[in-house]
This record gives sequence, structure tokens and C-alpha cells, in this order.
Amino acid sequence: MLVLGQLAGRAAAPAPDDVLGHTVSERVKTQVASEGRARVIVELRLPGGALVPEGRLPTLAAVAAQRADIASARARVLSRLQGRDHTVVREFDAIPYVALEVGPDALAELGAAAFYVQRVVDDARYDPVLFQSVPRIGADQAWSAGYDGTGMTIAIIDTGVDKNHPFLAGKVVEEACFSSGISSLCPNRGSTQLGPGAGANCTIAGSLCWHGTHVAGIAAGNGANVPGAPPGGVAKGAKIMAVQVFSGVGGSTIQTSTSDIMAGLSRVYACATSPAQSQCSGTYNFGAVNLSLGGSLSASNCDFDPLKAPIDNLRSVGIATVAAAGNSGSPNMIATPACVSSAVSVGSTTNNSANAVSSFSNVAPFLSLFAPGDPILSSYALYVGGGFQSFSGTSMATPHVTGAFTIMKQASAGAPPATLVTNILTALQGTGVPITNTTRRIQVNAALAALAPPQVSLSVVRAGSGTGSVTSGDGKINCGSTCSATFNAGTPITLTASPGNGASFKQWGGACSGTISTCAITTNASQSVTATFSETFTDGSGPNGAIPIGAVVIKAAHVLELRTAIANLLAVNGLPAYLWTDPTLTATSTTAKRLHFLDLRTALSPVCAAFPGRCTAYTDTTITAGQTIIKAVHLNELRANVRALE
Amino acid sequence: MSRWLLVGVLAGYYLHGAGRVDANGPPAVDSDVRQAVGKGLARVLVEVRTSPTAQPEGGLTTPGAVVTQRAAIAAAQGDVLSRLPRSHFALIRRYESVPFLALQIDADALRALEAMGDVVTRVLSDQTFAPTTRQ
Repeated sequence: MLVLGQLAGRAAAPAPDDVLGHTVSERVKTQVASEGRARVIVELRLPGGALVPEGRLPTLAAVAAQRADIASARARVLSRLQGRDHTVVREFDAIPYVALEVGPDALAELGAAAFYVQRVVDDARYDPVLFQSVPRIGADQAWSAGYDGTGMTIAIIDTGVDKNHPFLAGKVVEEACFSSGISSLCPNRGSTQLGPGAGANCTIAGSLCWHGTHVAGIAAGNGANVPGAPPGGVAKGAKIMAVQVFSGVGGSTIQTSTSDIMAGLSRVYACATSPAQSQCSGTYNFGAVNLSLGGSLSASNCDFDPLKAPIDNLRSVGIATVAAAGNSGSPNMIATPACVSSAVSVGSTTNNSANAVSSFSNVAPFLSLFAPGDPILSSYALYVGGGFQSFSGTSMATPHVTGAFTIMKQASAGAPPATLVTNILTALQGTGVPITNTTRRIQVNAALAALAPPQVSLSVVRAGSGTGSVTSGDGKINCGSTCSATFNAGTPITLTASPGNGASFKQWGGACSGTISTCAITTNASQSVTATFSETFTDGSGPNGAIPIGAVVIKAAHVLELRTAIANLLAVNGLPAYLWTDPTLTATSTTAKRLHFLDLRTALSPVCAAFPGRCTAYTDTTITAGQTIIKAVHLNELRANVRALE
Repeated sequence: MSRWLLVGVLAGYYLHGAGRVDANGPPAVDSDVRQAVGKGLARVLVEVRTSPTAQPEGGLTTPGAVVTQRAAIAAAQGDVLSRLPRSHFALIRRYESVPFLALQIDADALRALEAMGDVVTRVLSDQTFAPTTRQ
């Protein structure tokens, strides 16, 4: 169904309208005449005939012979330019071109060397499609806002990734291969290989083994310090997990299977959730998984497909699986596994201002998103010559969305994983450029602005022997009655503690600290704050509110204060309320009886039991009626224990 | 043979043999799989039955629940493999976090799978995929 891609443009290759049978294009002549010099691409005439793409040459010796032809032709041309105004800009090993900057005399010599020179064309007609597609979807603005995928990892489940390509230098951090078809394409020739080297691209001549390298470049390539490269893929700061899942099935045809894709998805899931146990090379924050592959078509969600299970596992931990809609040109069907409802399906639009649906792209009412895919320049595997090539397909659109998800996930740090994929998809779908009645093309900068900030919770707990309330500046928390609320992550909040009658604010705990009654915090994650209030004891000028011994008559008011303090301690610790003996005791009474003190001790005992080691033993443990005089020390012991339990 | 021994033997046959009466009914089998085994071997994905039905792991509330679900998947996979005729199938892949087995089977193995409604829900064709670059 889906076979070899068509070369849509070639790095450093001349555009057809520059050729028209002339050895030197008119544009170059005009530029040299007006400006004195011009950057040109010289196509060399090979003595052995037309160039054969190296991947189609049958042997390494044939490759070497063709390269020798190229070098020889180049040397002959450059020797004819000696003494003439020219600079060699770039030489190419695998293709018969040389890039020069030339003056009038050198250009005239090239024009006269038709035996060695096929054509001379303008160097400005390079087809810079990734240059265009990344700004077109606003990814460059996301970079400027600080979101380029740094700290994230993208899993490319494909034909393997050429990690030696300069556009992908240092990118590949985790590798795996699952190839159980007729002919294994794992480097170890087994059906499974894990670890460094396992995710290398296959190299079957004439096949699509370059495909994963091209896709990886669109999602996460970085063109810094790579001459002639685009600035970067969509998430140029992201790392790559390369997962090779294809097998040879005869000749140059490669294909993969549900079972090997499932193994690839499961491996990504294992490295995301249990990297040490799964012997992954590191720990990763996966932005998304890319599946630029497709099988049979479906006019509705294909949730019967076994691939839904591993896709669901990934989505449940906040990782999107982004899949290509396929290239059959269907108006109402998309390919498996893009049709799985929990996957993110991607169709292709033209990479120009028209934003038209690509003629080849499958479309359906339930298609998730569009992205540019027609054509896209990206990294070309070294085994077929390296450099950059343009290809078209939903394969090329899909990694744009994968990169976009990665950027959006980077901007959603701290968001709950269960709803993360849905939130990002909603933002992309709600802000994109309308393409069809039901589906939009991604616009990353707009989606970033619309991304619902992650919600975090702030809970307040009141503690201590005193009463009091805590309020937030925005009024969302008023504890007493409302002791928790949700906020947008990053919201600054000021909490104020207000003690109740007869109480004072003692201190903050949890996400706040200190003893002043206000606390400023920023809700970067869900947090809890404790506010401790103390009951104020009258006649309590000593430590812990101790009454001066011998100076004050023990009064009923002192007992009532302790009743209040103990009742608060029981309540804040979730313990049952105590039914006081002699409940009619009033503050105007001057009598404080032994009975009341035994009652206070009994009431406080469950709190002491809940916090072993904090309470001090009482003297006169029985306070036997008729035998013990109520003393200040009895009062002070109770007060000290109350303080110790706050 | 005593009457009770006979009952025991018959019960053992129905509990462990191919003739088990299963309340779940036979597994669903792709028509592609039947066609393929009619000609030889077929690559299939076997969905195993777990109780409760396997859920996305991220939705499970505790690490213990994940361990329990994985153990249930492994047990069901082991049950299926132990009941397949040995020389009639090959294990391609066994998955830890999703309730599937990838197998290569012949007609005898398919018949055995069809009799395992207690531990098998579906027998699906292992589909093929290609890169989605334009022709």
C-alpha cells in the first residue's frame, strides 16, 4: 500500500526552471553581471554516465567507483578554474556537484567547459522546507518563549535513527529494536535487541531505511553548527529514543507488524515508568511517541486493534502516541493505528501559505490534527549519502505534531498525567488554523498561550489549642469553612492567620514557616499548610503560660480555659469530644475543685496517647478528695502539657 | 473404579481438557486467521482474559494494583501457553503490561485457542504496516 517515497527536492540540487537546456542559467549570468560574483552549484558531468543513488548500487565497490568518478570530475573542473576568480564553498562526495562562488572569468570558463560541466545554477534555489514549516506552525515562537523540548525525550518508532547524522548529534539516548519478521533488521539479527546500537537505521539498498532518520530530524533535529541545515526540528532541544521495528520481507521491501509495534510501545512505557527495573540507559521525561507508519484503513475508530492497549498505557501516564493518517488520499478513512481513539492522528497539509490538504493525505471527520507534510526537508541517513532531503507524506506531518506535543508538555510541568494528553490536544485543536470543517492545523505558539495551566491544590490545616481562621488573599480559602482550594500552578498566594477569642497565632508549618501571621507562597505544586493557634491562659506570666505559684488563687476561669484548649486539641486531632463533669461551672465562680482537675487530665489523656513522649507525668496523680489541696502546680502541669501538644 | 473416582476424573477432564464448558463462550477469531491457518501458519495476537479486565496502568490507584494486574496477565498468558499443543505454535512475544501474546500458530493450535474461552477473549491477525511516506 505504501511504498518508496518520492524525492521532492534534493539538497544543493538545481531547480528545474534553472536548467532549460542551458549550461549556465540566466539568473547566474545576470547576478554576476550586476554584482560581480554569484554563489553557484556546478553539476559535474560524470564519465561513467548518470548518477545512481548509492543505496541502489549493488556493491560497496560500485559505490567507491562512483565516488571516484565524482572526485575526478570535480578535480578536472577546479583545475580549469585555477587563476580565475572563484572560491570553493563546498564539495560533495556522493553526488556530482560542487558549490562555488564565482566571478566573471570563472563563470566564463565554466560556460566553456561543457564537456565537464552539465550545468551551472543559482545556489539560492535550495528548497528550505523545514526552514518554513517550523515557523509556519509557530514553533520558533515557542523556542523564543523558552520551550524547545529541552529536558524531554521523543520516542521514534520507525526504521531506526542514524545517530551519526550531524543534525541528530548527541540526540539518541535510548535504543531498542524489535524485528520478528521474515528477515530481522536488528543489528544483532535477533528479534529483539536493547541498549546502545540497537536503534540504528537499517541499510537495505533501495528501501525506506532512511525513513526514521528523516522523521527524527523533523521532530527533534538541531541545526546549530551544522552548515546548510535548518535551524532545527520542532522540538530541537529534545533527545531521542530510537526504536527500530521493521523487518525485511524480500528485496527492498520492509514492513513491521502489530506485535513488533506493541513491543516498541511497551518498551517506551517501561523506560518511562520503571527505567531501572527495565534496564534502560537513563530516566526520561517523554514528550510523545511518533508512529509515522500505517496499515489498513478505517472509517471509524478502530478500538478493537490490539495497539490500543499499549497506547492507552502510555496515555494514562501522560504520553501521547502520535500516528500518521496515511497517504491513500481517502476523504473519509484513516490508517491503523491512527484510527485508535486514544492515539493522536495526523493528516498532511501543503507547506505553503495555501494550507491546503495534501492530495495524498487521508482525512476523516475524526482526524485529530493537520501539520505540514508536503514537502519537508530533513536529515537523510548517511548510508544513502547524508545531508538533507525533502520528502512528502503524513509521515512528515506526524513528527511536527510529536514535536509540538513535546513542547507543550515541557510547558505543562507539574500537570497531572491522567489529563495531560487531553489538555494538550484540546489546546492544539482549539487554536489551530482551520483546514477542514472538523480538523485544524497545529499552531504551537497559539496553543501554548491557550494551554490551561496545570491545577494544583492548597490545603490548610488548623492545629493547636486555640481557635482561629486562615484566609487567602483571593478569598478562595476561608478556613474555618473552606480549608482547601485549587489554583493555577504558579499563582502567588498570601495566607493570613487570625486567632479567635482568647487565642493567639503560634506558628506556621508545612509549606509556610515562621511566626508572623501572614505567609506568601507560590503554588508550583500541590501543597499543605498548617497554622497553629494557642489558647491564651490568664494569670499566665510564667513559661508556657504558667501561673505564678502562690501569687494567684486558682479560679474556675482557669479551668474553663483549659477546657477550651483541650477541646480544641481533641478536635484538631480528630479525637472525640469530652463530656465535662460539672458543666455548669462558670467563670464567675471562684471555686476550682479537685474534680475539675481530674476531669481535665482525663480529657487530655487521648491527645497525650496520640503523641507519645510529649506529656509530662502529673504530681499528686490521684488528687484524692479530702487529701490533696489544689495547687498552682496542678494547673501549671496541665498548661504545660497543653502547650506541648500544640 | 468407584463412582466418586469416576466423577473426579470427569471433572478433571472438563476443568483442564479441551472439552471444558465455558460460560464466556469461545474467543472471537479473525477471519484472516482462519484463512491463514487453512494454508499453513499464521501470526496472531492472542488477547488473554483477566479478572477484572486489564486497565491502563496509569489509572490504577496504587503500585500494588499494577503488580496485581501484571501478575494476572502473566498467569493468564502462562495458562494459555501451557494448554497449547507443544509442536503447533511458536511464542513470538510475551507482553508484561498489556494482556496479549504474539504467537505463530497452525490449525491445531487455533482449535486449542478456540476452546480456551475461559482465558482467551480474541485471536487477532498480526497486521503489517509500512512507513507513511508518499508514493
